Amino acid sequence: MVAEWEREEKVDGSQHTRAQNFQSTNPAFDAAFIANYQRIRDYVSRRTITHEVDDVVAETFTVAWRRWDEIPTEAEIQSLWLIRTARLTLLNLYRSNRRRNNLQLRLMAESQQEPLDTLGIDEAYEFTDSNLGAIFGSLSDDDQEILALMAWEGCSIAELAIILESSHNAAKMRLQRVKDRVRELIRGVEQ
Amino acid sequence: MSDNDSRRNELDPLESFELIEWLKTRDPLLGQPTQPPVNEDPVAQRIYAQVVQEQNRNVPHDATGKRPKSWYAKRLLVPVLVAATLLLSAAALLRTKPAVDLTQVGCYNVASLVDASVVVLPLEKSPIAQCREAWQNPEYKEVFSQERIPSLATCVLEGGVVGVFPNEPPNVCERLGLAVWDEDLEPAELQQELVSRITSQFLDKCLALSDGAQIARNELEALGLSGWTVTVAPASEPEFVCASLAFDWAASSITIVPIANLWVD
Repeated sequence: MVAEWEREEKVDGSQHTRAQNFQSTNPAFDAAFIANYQRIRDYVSRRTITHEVDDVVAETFTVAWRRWDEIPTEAEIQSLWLIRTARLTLLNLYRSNRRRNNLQLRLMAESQQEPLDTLGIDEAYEFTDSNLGAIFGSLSDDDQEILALMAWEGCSIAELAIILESSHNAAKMRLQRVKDRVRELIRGVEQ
Repeated sequence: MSDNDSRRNELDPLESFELIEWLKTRDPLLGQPTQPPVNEDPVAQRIYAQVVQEQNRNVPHDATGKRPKSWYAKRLLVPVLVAATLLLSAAALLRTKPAVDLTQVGCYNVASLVDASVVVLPLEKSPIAQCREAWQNPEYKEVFSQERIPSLATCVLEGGVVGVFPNEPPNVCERLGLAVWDEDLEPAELQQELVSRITSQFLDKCLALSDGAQIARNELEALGLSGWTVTVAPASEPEFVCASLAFDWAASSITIVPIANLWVD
């Protein structure tokens, strides 16, 4: 594999090199990298701490390279496949670090809301940062991920199905269950 | 319900759901500075290079994404991939004992361990002489595209593999954090003979570790080098099943170094 590099000469005469193009011997991979790098980076950045982002993104594309023959050629499906891979990479990272999904922790930290079970029973329900955050925070990691994929990555059900490796109907049902669960939580807060 | 309403409901039944809307306002990337285009993003370029180098350790691809057959035998251009392979072998060597691998030389087109393309050749003469020939060889013109051959210097990569780099500005080995090649290590006639006889049997194929050790013992015996020893280094990865080798002239020993199977179709 040959990466093309451009030599640059600085004013002081010293030389350094920088990548000119993403050109390996697998042009299809290069195209996929260019087309999806930012989307994958955004996906990962939303879900883990800064110093782990580069490693997760690199691992995602490394897996893509290794399994290139298995990846669909259609651009949009390719992108979803990469998100799925990034998600699995993150899950492995969470497991290896023995810590909870950072997504929730990050949201909790940002909105500074109380966990749902600490909300006072007399608090009247209304959509505020506090109780919406509490509801979201009380969902399982998987349910949070489904909502986050829709809100942040703008995924449709069909796209969720690909990322979650399920059928369209199964994804639809999972989404419905999340919705039901949220309604239960809202009713719980309202009572 | 209109078609549009139906489609919207199908796509996002939670569309009107306030939790989704709330989540959108909590997007951790909101307010973050706009990222530069991928082609101008040094982080993206670094990650790309990291991915490519990582994969080139063991899996060469041609333009179709398939592995070329007999790529090593044909001395195909194996740029960054072989740099990684060299380092891989070097890492294995380092874990055993310091030794200089006189079986091959990596000719680098720039003074860098990361951004370079490398042509790797079996070491048959002085490393610099061999790399100068490579610089002049039309077969490698894509790698060595500079109009003139720069001053070259020989360094010892981590673990003992030999690399020849452009030495402009000078002291490239020091700048790269590498040991300078000690000319005393240039193989003497007997050493050349030993290297030649043994390595010729290691090239172009995946030799089992035990077979590699046996070949080394046989050749040592044939040359009357009875004081030499042959040891097999432990494999650092389970898939490292093929024999490469390193010579330790000071200790009069040959180490069989497990490497990945680079010849598999």
